[in-house]
Amino acid sequence: MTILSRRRLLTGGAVAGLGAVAGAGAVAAGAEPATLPGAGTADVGTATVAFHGPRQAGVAEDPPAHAAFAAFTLAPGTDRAALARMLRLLTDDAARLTQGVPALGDTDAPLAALPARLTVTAGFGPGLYAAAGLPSPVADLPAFTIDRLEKRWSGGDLLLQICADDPLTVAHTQRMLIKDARPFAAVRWVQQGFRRSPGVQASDHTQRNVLGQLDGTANPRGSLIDTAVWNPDGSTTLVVRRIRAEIEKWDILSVTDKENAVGRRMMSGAPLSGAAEHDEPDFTTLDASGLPAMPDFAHVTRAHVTDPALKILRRPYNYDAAPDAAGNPDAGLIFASYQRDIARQYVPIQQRLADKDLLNEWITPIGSAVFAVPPGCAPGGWIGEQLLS
Amino acid sequence: MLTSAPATVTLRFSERLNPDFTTIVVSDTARQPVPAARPAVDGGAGTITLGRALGNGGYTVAYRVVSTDGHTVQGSYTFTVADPALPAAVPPASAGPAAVPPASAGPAAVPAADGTGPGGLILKILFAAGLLVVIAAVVRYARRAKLPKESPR
Amino acid sequence: MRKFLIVAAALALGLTGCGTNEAAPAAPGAPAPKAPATTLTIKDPWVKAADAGTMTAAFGVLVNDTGAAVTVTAAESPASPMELHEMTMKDGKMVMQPKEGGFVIPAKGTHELSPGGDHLMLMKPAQDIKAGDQVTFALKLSDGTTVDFTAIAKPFVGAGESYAPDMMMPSAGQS
Repeated sequence: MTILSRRRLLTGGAVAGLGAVAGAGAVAAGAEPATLPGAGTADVGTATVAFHGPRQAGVAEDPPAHAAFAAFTLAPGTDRAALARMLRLLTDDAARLTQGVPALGDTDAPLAALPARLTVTAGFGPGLYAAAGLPSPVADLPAFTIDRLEKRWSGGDLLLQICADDPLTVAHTQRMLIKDARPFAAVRWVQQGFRRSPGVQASDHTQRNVLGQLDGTANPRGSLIDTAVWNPDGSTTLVVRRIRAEIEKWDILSVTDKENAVGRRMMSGAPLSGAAEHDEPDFTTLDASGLPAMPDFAHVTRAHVTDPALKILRRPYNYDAAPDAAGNPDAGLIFASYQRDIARQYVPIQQRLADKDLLNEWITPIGSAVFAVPPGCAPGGWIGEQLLS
Repeated sequence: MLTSAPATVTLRFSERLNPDFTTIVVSDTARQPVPAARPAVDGGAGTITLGRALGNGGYTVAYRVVSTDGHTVQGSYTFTVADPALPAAVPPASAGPAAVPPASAGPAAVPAADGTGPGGLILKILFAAGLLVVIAAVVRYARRAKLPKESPR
Repeated sequence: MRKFLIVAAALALGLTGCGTNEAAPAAPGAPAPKAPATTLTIKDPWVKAADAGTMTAAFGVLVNDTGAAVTVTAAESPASPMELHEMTMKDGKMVMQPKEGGFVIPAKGTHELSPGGDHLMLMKPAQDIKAGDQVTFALKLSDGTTVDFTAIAKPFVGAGESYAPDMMMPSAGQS
């Protein structure tokens, strides 16, 4: 995805360039693309991600540092017409705020001035399709034996994924969107998470989670994202799982223990069969004693997928709430994965992990939700219009 | 030194094993794994049944198991098969089928062993606070067998 | 320079709006406004959602791109009888009242209609104006021309203006 510095666009005086960006949602020939992480920090606040286009933003881009996943429960009696009105409002808000423009009726307009790569991505749960009288392309996940799901983190008729490189931008956007969703839906849950801040690491770094593991090494890259994530109509699907990390227990382990559980070196992320993070794990490699270098119960061994069409795009965020009085952390991962087809791509991986994965000793899924992510929209359109209009 | 090729290898641990997290591999001196099914676990005992007969020569038993608190424990032992009825130092693949003892079903089937019947190799391993201590490694049926020494990890 | 900035801003808004801004200044090449002689436009129009019979208001920024002042003398909408209102301080309290003489937008200038400020008053909506509804309006100008626009209805409880003594605040609207 193209990331444009709004300031550069305006100071460049490329009015024609603006029109090109608006019309195509593609790279404007006259605009200077700015790859954010290489740029000075002054551009972090003003950088924007195009909102309009055949695919929603907030999926394939390098994830910004902060996110809020807000799930809603539709009010009883919300019908297709009401859904259309809601999505027109939310789309209008998102289209403005992501470009650094206050929403209509924005009571704190100055907070909109620094979008910081803000994206707003809408997902539709099975309940939204039911409300619209339409068959749902997504279904709740099967029950996994490792699940300890809590209702307060599970399900949802509508999801708004709000991502930006600044937490105040996320907070303001969340507030604005919730205000406009409120006539139609109640807030079901909000999960707020974070990654490394912009400028701390190179843009293509792999996320490190609260257990210290590199998380997302196996993600599809480049054109393989198209293969794994995007349907021809520009839609995709999203799985959100809240995964509590049992950090007190994890702390007991030696580094070797941790590496055996994960199947990767903690420091480099290299598979135990290789030397560098992006070395493909080799499950035939044996150590000096004849054991497979990649333990057969290790997380990476169990989760590994070779077929590019069956991979998933992990886009996780860490969470770290207040510890209890004894100092026990309340931390973990907001696991978010995008894939074309949850049943074909995500479920087999999760089933293998539920069946056998040593890492399960230190992670507990406590929330779960699935959403269809409809195509993006053109200027003048709204998210979901293909479905609901 | 075993004077008869074992058909099973059993490792006894001082803690219960989780079958999902128990790996036992027997390899020959060329570091080729001897085909075997996944370990059968009974309490603290894990047994693999070898998929082919072992010829005379040296072998390594390697294990990777997980203690109840999640520590991975791994190690290895070596043993040698020197069956007078088999050709000396043959490659494992050439071991004659006539010399193959039928596979035993598990630890309970391990005989007191006189060197002629079906047999297996048994090793005992103790967990202590996640640290591995070997208290005994016993070849049950080979009275004159030397105790295998623990190999460094 | 000033003119350039306004054009750039209008373009930026045109690309962020999603069909709620039909009367806004369009990019070059877009269909001409309904009244070609008039270059008064309204950008970022919206209306506060309200129940039927409950007064509410529409807002936006009136943009006069001509070299002469333009006066808005009245507003009409199929949704409700309308008045042009201003908020003014009376006895230490902000109250609203009809705007004498209408809204005058200076040459090359703008005039903001906002909660707590001047606004287009919907005196008695015939039907609920629900959040997300699109409501059409027409502004009557002193030269006899009309400017049409469409505003999206938003749930809104901000600014705390009191519309009249003894009158309830419009509700935030419902789905």
